[in-house]
Amino acid sequence: MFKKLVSALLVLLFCSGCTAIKPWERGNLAKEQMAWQTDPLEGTIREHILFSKEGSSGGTSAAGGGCGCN
Amino acid sequence: MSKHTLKALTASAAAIPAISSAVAPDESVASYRYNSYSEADAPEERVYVGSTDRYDIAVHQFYLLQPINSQFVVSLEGTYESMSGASPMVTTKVDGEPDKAKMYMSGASITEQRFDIYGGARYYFKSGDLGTSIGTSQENDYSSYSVAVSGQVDIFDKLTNITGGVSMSSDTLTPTAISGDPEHTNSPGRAAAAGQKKTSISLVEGVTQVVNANLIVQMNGGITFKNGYLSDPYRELPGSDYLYDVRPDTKTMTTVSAGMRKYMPAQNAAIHGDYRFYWDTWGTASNTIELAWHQRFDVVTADGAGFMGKLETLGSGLSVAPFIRYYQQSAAGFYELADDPEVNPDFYLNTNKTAYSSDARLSQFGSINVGVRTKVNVGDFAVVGTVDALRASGPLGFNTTEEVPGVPSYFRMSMGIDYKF
Repeated sequence: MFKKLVSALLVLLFCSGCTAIKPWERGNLAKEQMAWQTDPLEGTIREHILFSKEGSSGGTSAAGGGCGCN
Repeated sequence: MSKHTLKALTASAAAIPAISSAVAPDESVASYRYNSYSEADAPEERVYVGSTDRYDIAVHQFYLLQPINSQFVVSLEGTYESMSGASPMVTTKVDGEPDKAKMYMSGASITEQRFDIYGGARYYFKSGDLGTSIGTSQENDYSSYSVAVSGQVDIFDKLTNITGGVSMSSDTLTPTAISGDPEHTNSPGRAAAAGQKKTSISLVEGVTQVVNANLIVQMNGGITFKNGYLSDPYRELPGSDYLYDVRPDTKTMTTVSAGMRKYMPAQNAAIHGDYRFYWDTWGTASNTIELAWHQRFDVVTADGAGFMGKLETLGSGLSVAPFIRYYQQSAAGFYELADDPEVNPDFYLNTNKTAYSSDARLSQFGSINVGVRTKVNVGDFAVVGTVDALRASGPLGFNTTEEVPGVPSYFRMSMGIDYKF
């Protein structure tokens, strides 16, 4: 019962208004332009620079950490 | 000077296609990047003493991804930095000039180095994956060790993806001594920090949802707990008994973020939109919004003949991705600019203060960051380049006229190659 309730809630939360996308219709979603992060090393250096300049960090798919930057 | 970051969960999650990440890569990838980073000089009229030359940094980055079999992948990522420059020690008010600020700068440092290396391993299941990474960052006055575990699962016919991760780090401070003062006798900020440790634990959770054949959205939440010596040892006036940078020894940082990727079939391009709201127990809150246009130009010929036809067969093309990012934050509760200590030292002789910092990174300010990323790929090779510039100021932080000369503007240029094999 509990599992069914959780499943129903998840469907309502995330799938309301969504179209049923068949696997063969997902080609555009798999294109390089659609990646959440198109270049891992670029993501690393940019995170490092902004982390050393700003009073806040985190919130991406990566977890941040401490810094002694000047 | 310390320039350090802890990178934990990124290696596994960063390069994922939007549709689903629970698919094991089937090719090895080797990458290299060279970055030239240069900060704008501090304005001379805003400096009491010290160097106006801010940091110049050369950064070499390496990355290797190696599938072991169809379900197991290992990765290695490293960075080597060589840097020199000066940074603010103390920032004060300017007598008779409201909204102005002036800095005591350090001398220009000799060239210093930092390196980090992170190794990761990830196992892919039918509808999910689980991975771990360990890493270290080392420099002459700072060291860090970290470990992370993260995973994800695809549900609802792979239309929904749920991610989660936890990372931990342990850092040790060993501040550089002022010339002729190896025991930090005349530098109480450094003396207080010597040998101190801090720890960090981060949790992240995220949900990604396919909305239709051209649109995907994501929501993330994260929380980080920091504990230990969180003050900056270099924010002091050496040789004095003045108050130095003293911050609370705990900090809880929370983020909520959302993102979308919208494919535009007519243009063969994608719009990227990301927003993050952040708040912490030091009183800082921030908003970050980033927009990008990822344009792809594929080599296409009518008959597939000739040299261009060969390029087409190899899947060659050009990617151009301009981006703009706006950031603004409020000040930490203990951020404070006092009088110039040479004029009125009373504030700095108050040893009962339990928290104080004039570090511009804890002030109210904002920044605009623009850049362009390009990539030319031919077969298994790709050449990539990025230019990236940021301008920061107090007034960009919204609803303030106070200047923040301690947050420098910068320019970065990056070049590199990727090879799949």
